[in-house]
Amino acid sequence: MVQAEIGGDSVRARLVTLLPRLRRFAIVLCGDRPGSDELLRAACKTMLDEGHRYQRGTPFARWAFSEIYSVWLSRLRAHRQPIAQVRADEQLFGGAPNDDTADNAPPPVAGFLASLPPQQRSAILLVYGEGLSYEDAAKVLDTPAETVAARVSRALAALIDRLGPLDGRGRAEATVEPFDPEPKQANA
Amino acid sequence: MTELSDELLVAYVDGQLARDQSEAIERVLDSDSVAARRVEALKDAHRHLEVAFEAMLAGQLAEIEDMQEPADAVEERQAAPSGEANEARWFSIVPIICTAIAFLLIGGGGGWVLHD
Repeated sequence: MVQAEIGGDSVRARLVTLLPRLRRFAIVLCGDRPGSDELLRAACKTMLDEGHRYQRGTPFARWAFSEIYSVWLSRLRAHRQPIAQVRADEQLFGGAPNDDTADNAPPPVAGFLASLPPQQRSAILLVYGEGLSYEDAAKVLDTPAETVAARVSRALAALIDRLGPLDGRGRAEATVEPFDPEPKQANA
Repeated sequence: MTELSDELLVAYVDGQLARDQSEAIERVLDSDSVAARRVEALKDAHRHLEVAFEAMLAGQLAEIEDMQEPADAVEERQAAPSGEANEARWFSIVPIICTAIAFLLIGGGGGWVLHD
């Protein structure tokens, strides 16, 4: 069987073009600069050494995110660290500092992102930052799509609480009743 | 009346539902102002997150492009009276990532892909 492979130079070139996005993902996972840089270096080396595992037809970025996540998770397990990490560096989630501002305090959402556990943070990055569907994000994170949906939902609800009330922000009751788009026929 | 969970509404806001489900929810929202306001709040939060992640990406682009300044520009800056400060800044943002960048950039490259 012929494997649809790409050469090492092609993997390298693709990684170069994706570097900003991959670095953002690494920061979201690690929450600190040294850790994210080390993670990205290790993951890039793995991808360059094992580029033969990439198969055409799979979006390359998604494969790269999966590889980074896999390296991160394996290191986490090897160190037996709890998933609930210490608070991440808020400055990393504030984007490029604005030279025109008197202070470079990160925006409120940066603090929110820093406070989230990395599993939740990575899920919302993949969905809202990378535009992946729940299913594709789930493949990257090697978890069911329902788990991604739950993480995203909790994150949004928490962010609404953080942003504060906005002229009658309502709260839907959290129920688990199935929603049937097809109206049931009334019993005779 | 079936109550709409946050998870369902978020999936709706995120465009993750099938068309018939979305249309059914929209019919409910037309008559349920509480749920409609919740959807607006969720959309607002969604926007905040998109903007935040875009800002993060812009920050990464700026940092990486800084590290890719041509060598002559670096030398010029280092020769200037304030070269010491600039050099300190340069090396202060050359973490391990530069090793990865140099590793990847053998053979040249450029042009960032912002989306698939």
